[in-house]
Amino acid sequence: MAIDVESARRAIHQEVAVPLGLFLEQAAEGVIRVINSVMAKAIRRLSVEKGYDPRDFTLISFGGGGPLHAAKLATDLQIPRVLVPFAPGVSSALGLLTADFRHDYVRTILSKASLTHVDQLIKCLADLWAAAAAQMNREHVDTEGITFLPSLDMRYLGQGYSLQIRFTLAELADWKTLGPLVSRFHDSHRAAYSYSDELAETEIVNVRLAAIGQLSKPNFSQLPETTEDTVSAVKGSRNAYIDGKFETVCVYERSKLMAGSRIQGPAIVEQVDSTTLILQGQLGRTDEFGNLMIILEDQQ
Amino acid sequence: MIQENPAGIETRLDPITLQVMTNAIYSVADEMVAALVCTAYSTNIKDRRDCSGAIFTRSGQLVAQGEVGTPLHLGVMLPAVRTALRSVPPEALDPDDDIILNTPYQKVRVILTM
Repeated sequence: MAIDVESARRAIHQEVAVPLGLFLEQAAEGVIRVINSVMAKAIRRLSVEKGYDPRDFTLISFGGGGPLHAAKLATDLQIPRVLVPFAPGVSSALGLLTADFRHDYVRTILSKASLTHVDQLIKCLADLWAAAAAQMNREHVDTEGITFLPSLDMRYLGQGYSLQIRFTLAELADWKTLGPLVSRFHDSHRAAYSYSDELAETEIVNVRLAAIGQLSKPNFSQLPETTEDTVSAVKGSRNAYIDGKFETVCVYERSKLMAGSRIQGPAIVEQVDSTTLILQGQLGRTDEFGNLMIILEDQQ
Repeated sequence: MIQENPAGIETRLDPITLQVMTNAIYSVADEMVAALVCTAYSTNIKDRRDCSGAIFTRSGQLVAQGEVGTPLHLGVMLPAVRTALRSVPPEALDPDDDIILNTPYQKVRVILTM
């Protein structure tokens, strides 16, 4: 796609820079800063509503434009690492073709934990297990290789939202009471909302079973290992406006990176389906499958 | 996102920084509401979301009110927080202190320290 730089300059100048009394580059960077802050807000809210702290995760960045924003979003949200898959622009399509079969089964039981027996859960999960196996069988998935992930949706009696508490079928078979599950719920509640109430009655809302039927995995070719520097992947340099000033930034060709390649930010990594921006102080590292991991400054 | 300024708070912000700060502060207020709704026992909170989260300055000026919640509370938040701060001055408050009041136009009845 042809890009008309002059038209872009004119539009930002007339529509943003002049009305706000800013320089052209200030205005252009301002557009990016504002959209980044909106995305950061969405990530925070979605994580907190599910009871997760974004700082405990790796940000996976895909789509054609995602890797342009990811390094800054990670910095602002204190997410320690960013994973940019080897072909971010077609990640969804690749996932569609290679993801495992998954079916989720759920049964609502609305039962106080103190009045629920382990046997009830085992019986309930056995029913869900049979339904999963039958469905996978109809879909010609090898039923030997199915992974089962049981969990409970639990809450304090009277709450409206629950937390998902995971366990294994082997653990459940060993337990005489629901004590371990209840204490796992208290821990989750404390981790998500900073408090727990050990004296309160807990309630099981749903029994869940996820059944994952594994498909044969595609054989991704591995990149050759390198211990050398990444000079051979540099295809030029560019005067880029980052954090309020112009600086000369190295531009790398993604397809020339090898396993173990290291890129010191600031850097721009270009490839046919996306462009990745690595910021000052951040380190980019390629693994043997060509995934680019961006590690934030305080995590190196 | 928010730069430290040892000389004190800047009185003038450029329009871009202002918008970025606005989004950040709003997201704190929204997070407060999300945590409250997810842990609530009251039907009024957990189902109707009849609650609000907001950030105030020490002197009781409203900075941001969460977008999730009840816009109607905009009217009562201000006198409620000012009443609370009149009875318990900000310098008397410690981190993790809570103030509970049910008469926004009068004195604070209960102070609970967690």
